[in-house]
Amino acid sequence: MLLTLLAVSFIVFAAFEIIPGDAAVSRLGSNATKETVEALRVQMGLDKPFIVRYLNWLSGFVKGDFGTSISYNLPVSSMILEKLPITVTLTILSMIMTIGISIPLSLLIAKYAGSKFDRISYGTNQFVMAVPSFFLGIMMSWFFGMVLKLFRPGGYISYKKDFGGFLGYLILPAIAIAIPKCAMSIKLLRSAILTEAGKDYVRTAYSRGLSTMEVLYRHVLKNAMIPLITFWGMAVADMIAGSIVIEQVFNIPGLGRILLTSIANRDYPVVEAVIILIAFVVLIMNLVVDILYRVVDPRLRKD
Amino acid sequence: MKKWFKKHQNFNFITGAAITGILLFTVFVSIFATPYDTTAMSVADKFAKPSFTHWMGCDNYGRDILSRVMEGMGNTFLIAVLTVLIGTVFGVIVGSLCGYFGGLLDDILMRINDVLFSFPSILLALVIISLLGTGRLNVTLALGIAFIPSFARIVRSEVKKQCSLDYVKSAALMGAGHIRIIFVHILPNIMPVLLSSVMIGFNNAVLAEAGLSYLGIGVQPPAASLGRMLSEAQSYLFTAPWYAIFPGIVIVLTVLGFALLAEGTTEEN
Amino acid sequence: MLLSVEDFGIEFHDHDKPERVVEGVSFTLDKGEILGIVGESGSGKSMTALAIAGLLPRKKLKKEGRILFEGEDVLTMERHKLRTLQGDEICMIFQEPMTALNPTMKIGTQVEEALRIHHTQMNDAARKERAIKWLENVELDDPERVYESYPHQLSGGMRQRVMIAAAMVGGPQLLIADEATTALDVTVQAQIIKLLQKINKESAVAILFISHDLSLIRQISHNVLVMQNGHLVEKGAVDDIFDHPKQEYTKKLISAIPKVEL
Repeated sequence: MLLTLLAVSFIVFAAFEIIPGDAAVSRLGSNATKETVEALRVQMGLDKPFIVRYLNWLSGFVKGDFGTSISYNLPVSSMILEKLPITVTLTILSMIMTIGISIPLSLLIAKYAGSKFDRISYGTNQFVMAVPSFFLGIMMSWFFGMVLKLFRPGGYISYKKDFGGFLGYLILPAIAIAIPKCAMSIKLLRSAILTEAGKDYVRTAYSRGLSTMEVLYRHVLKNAMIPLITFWGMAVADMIAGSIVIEQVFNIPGLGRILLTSIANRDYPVVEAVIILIAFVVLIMNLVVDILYRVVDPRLRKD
Repeated sequence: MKKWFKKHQNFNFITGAAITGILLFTVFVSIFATPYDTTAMSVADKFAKPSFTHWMGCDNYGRDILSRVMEGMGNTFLIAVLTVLIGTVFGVIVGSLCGYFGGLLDDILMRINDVLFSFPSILLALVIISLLGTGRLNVTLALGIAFIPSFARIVRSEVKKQCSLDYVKSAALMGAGHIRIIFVHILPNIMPVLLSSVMIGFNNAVLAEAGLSYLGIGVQPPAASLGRMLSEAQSYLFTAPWYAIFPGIVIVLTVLGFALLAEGTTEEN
Repeated sequence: MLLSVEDFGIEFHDHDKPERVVEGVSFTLDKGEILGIVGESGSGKSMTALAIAGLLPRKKLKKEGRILFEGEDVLTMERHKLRTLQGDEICMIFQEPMTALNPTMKIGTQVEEALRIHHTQMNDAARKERAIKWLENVELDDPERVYESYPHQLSGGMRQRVMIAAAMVGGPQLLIADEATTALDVTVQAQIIKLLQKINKESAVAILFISHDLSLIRQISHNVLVMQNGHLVEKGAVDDIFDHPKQEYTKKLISAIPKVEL
């Protein structure tokens, strides 16, 4: 895993090295003198060969020094650290919603498989999956904000000032991210539950006098969740990506906002750091997925 | 049960085909003519409500939303098709080579591929756009590249599966070259799987393009794009909610149509 | 009399034409009796067993006649009432021990489950004690370790023993064994048969033993039913059936047994 992270960091660093444009020039503006540019280049270490710069950058990373933002002239690490809790909270909230809603709903739908209720929810699901989360977000901020007046669009509250208010503001964005994922989860989970429900151990459970709901909840659910673990693991990465867009919809100054402004300003140290961070999260999630598999499925555990 | 199932899958396919057909027809028409000039502004029609003259109303410059939606659809379709094309072509090449030959090359490429695959494609596209710059061509390129890993992964595992089958061995025995085996013998057999992932990929491309354009790094104005219309509409949600609703619905319908088509075809196989 | 099946029949309605799989089956089962049902696959013996255990699907299926368990009709009983019988009074073990246990649940939890549902007043320690006792009764080595194991860590024979323990833990009146030894190899088969006989003697549980294997049926049963194409062909005491078969079909079945002394 460390090796993969190393490879990713190298690719990212190399990619941003290839693009034309001199960081020193872009920082000082095009009318700076040659000498000042040269001095800054030395100060930024741009005069050294590529490999040396990569190693310097990497060792800084390990120490938690992500370099200095070109446009804000601030340490990248502190910029990111300040915004990180926002995106993390948003992702966790949407994940909780996705899992919390999709499990009971899929159990219910699977219980009535083949009925009218099943078909209606199938149709609804197909429809919901087609709705991009940012459109959903816009519609929600219109409906809750302007029609019902329950919510003030753009009225973001900093988590430092009022954590409760901050959470309250994040609920709608989290729903907007969660709903399409939820629909996908329900679709996968429903079919996994139905596959499991046809297995022999389910009949055994019925023969012990359990009710349908008890059988589904105690026996089927855990087995049916095994194929969903990978999906949920990848959903975390997707949600972080989705939050970039949703942060824009709801005007939340999170990680996505930094990434977008840095891309617009060609502030590469920031872009690089955010990408490596997300790659790190992706790899961690892969690891978590592996561990979860072992927790849920005893057959994969080594004795 | 079986009967009901059969009815159900046809329903999926027919609905999907109908929605997609209507949308494609509209796009086709928009190549030749739109009800109004897509860039013609008119102060008098600013925020005109949907009516018989302007079916979807007008935007903040008094431009006809229907015409702009039609043009935006065209752009979205074009970008999505090209994206999927890039993704499929390179995905098939990388995937089939890796799956067929295996070995060190496969190990290395698939390692990288796995990381890229678990990286959300919209993010990957964002990174590539930050390298290439914005614009329609760059967005297409970025999305296309971002879509390669998922196609490569699918193709590789399918090719691997096919390689263990007897017909591949007998083709090799008969003296067919590697390239011939891959493209003449194996590829036709993985078509059904590839087809459904192309349709799903198309949907992801539509959604990603809309998302990028919404962020302002996709299609640049004055050209119309569904995502960008949504981001502009957001400022006028209170005065003109229809400005956001119609482009959004068109995105939803596009994705829905293809999702149903994909569902219908996979069930048939 | 524990169980009385009266003119029982099943008709499937999941295709265009209704299909009769069981028709006019009547028999009785006393407390502590071992009744063997023998027949080829498709003879309706498993369907009858599932009906007695209350495990037939309720849709797309027409049931006729009565199945009286201690005087009450299992077929028309309300579901929540039926559930109080299932796992407590009527238990069942199945053909495939490999798949009949939940792969992600510990053996102990599965053995205890019937107690958890039907004997809610029992505390955890008492439940565990009872479960361990039954794992011991089914002659599993190291019951404490088995209690903490998962199904994949056990062999097929061990799993079938676990199934028996899980069925017997609630102290049922009737144990239905549907081809319970078919998937096991011959030596394990013989052990399971002995085990079932022992349990029958010690716990006085009636056993409905269903198999296509006549030599097993002969070994274990007190009385035998012979079924063919959903009909009851012949019934009687085990020696009568095997020594003096009345029906042609029974004779044919018996003559097909390989002559090996057990």
